[in-house]
Amino acid sequence: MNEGHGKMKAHLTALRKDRAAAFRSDVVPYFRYVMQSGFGLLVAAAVFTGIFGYANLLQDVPETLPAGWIGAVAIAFVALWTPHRTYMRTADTVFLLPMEGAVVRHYIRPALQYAAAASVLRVLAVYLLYMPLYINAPATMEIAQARPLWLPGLAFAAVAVWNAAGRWDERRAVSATARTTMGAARIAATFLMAWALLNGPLVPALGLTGGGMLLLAMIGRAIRRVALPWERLIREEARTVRSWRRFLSWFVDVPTEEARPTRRQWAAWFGDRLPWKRERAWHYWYAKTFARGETFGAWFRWLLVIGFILIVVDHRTTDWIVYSIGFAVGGIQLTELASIRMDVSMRALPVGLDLRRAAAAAVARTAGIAGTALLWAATAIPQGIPQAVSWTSLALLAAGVAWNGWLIPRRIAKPRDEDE
Amino acid sequence: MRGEARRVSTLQVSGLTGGYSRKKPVLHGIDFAMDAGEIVGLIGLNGAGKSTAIRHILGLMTPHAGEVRVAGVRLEEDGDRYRQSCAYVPEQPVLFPHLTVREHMRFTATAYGVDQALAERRMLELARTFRMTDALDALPDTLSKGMKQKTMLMSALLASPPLLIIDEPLLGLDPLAIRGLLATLDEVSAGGCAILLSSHILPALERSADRLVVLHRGRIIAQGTPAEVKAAASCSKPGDTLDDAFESLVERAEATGGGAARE
Repeated sequence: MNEGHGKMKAHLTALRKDRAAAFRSDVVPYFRYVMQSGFGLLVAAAVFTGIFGYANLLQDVPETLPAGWIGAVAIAFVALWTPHRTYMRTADTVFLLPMEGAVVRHYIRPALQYAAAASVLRVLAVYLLYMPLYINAPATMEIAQARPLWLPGLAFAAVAVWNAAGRWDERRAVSATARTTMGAARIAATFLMAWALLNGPLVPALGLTGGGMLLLAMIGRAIRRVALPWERLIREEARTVRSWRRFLSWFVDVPTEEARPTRRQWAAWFGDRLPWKRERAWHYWYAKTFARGETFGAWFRWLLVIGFILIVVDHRTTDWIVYSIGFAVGGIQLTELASIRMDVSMRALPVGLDLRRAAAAAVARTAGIAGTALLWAATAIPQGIPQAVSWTSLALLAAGVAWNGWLIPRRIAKPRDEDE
Repeated sequence: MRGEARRVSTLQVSGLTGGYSRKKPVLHGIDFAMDAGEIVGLIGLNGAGKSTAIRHILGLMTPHAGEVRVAGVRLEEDGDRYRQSCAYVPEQPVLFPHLTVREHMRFTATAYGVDQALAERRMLELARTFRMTDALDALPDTLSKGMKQKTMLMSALLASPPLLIIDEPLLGLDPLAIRGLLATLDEVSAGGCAILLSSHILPALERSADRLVVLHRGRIIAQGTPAEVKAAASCSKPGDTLDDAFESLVERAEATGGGAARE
């Protein structure tokens, strides 16, 4: 019996580790592309700017800065964020369901403990980062000096653990109303506790924190819960994986077969405008598939980012460089349309497979030219009409149209081995 | 038989030998034909060769020997006409994840060259028949398995080609949808469409099919009307069912070492 229990524990522990490792090996290779894209540079710049800005602020903290509120909001947000990866899969409802108790003990609980520990470290890191402001800000200076600072830190660590446990209890709740109500109460209580621990008298604040946590934990235990919310965990895990893929797809083509389509009616309506003709069947199919797929999402977000940079930078030469990068990378993203695969039984449809690639190219051409035109307008029009119709401007427009209207569609239309 | 028989069979399978490997063919020279307006049930045990036969008819596999003609043409002769002459509903619904139910139907209708006004009217009729009116604008990931199956069926019925091939049409459907489907199949076949149904649910086939083709180990061991198949299996007593006849035919074929028995 004990040997069997030990084997089960080892199996479930190893299973979780394997799944975590598989996820990492799935995601980590793409980080290189993320860094190459300049995102790493952007984050590093933001971190350094933040550090310098914070150091400057500490040297001369304005009288009116609501430092108590800032600390409470920052710590509460971090304490509320308690990601708990389970790596659960659809097949688990078949193969792991019969050993639910063991799954809770040896698969979920270690993950929950890890999530709580990580949350404590994050909260303490933010508290330590905030401490210099707490001590130096005129608004909180007196309060900070009047209390041992380790004591609120200890309370914040407890709040972090309580949040991780509370979030888990909410996920187990049977009733959606109970889940929402408990979640809202936990969020409100966390903000209140963080504010009280930093701004209120310490002893009542500690009492409020302890009492609040105890009360909500007791209510949480009283509501009807399941041992393991299998389907919810599987859905959440799938959503997390999709979010990662979506994030990575901003920088590089990522296999997206798990991505759920987005309804995106504002983009998909274009397909309905296509003529009702047999030779346009694939055009219709590609227009809809593109508009609701991840490729469109990544491409459109890219256009938005470039548009935003163009508006913020407002420097003629830089703008044209950004525009050129924008249409070139946007076009490359559209080549993903050539990789869409379909079930072999679709070959039985009476629409020539040879027309497929031409239709994909036509959809990419339309989107590419539209995107180029938008980026060109965002670059040229703010520079004024004389600049907009200058040779440079028109030549760059022509380059964008040639890239997205001819070269990229030509690449998409090229037959591939899998067409055979 | 429903509908008017024509000189050119809607489907003519002659001496079809085929499968994935030439060394180990799945089908061994099968022959059968379907006329316009006929409903033919294709029955057999798992692995009997039903799906392989269907894949050959659809032109997804190339025969090792023999030929398949749909509306009088072979795939190699006129691929466009051949493909436009048959529609297929697989056992497992294969839907495009990015297209709604309505969009699947529009895509199929345009692919088969169905007139827009006719397609739009028929789309609504089919949606009512299959109780899918509220789901017309839903994406497949929000549909149940049965609703996905209905979407495939509605698309194929909308295309309404001369030959309709349906693999396990009743799996996953609710009782009202089964009733609606069988009535719709009767209606469609009365309009001249030949329907090949592959199914394990023999009572439904007995009710709907004009003729049956019984496959065993890649050979046809019986074919004819349900009564003829029962007679061939010596199961003509009033209480005998098609299930009894099928079991008897299979046992007999096994006893004779595979089954060259024909009606």
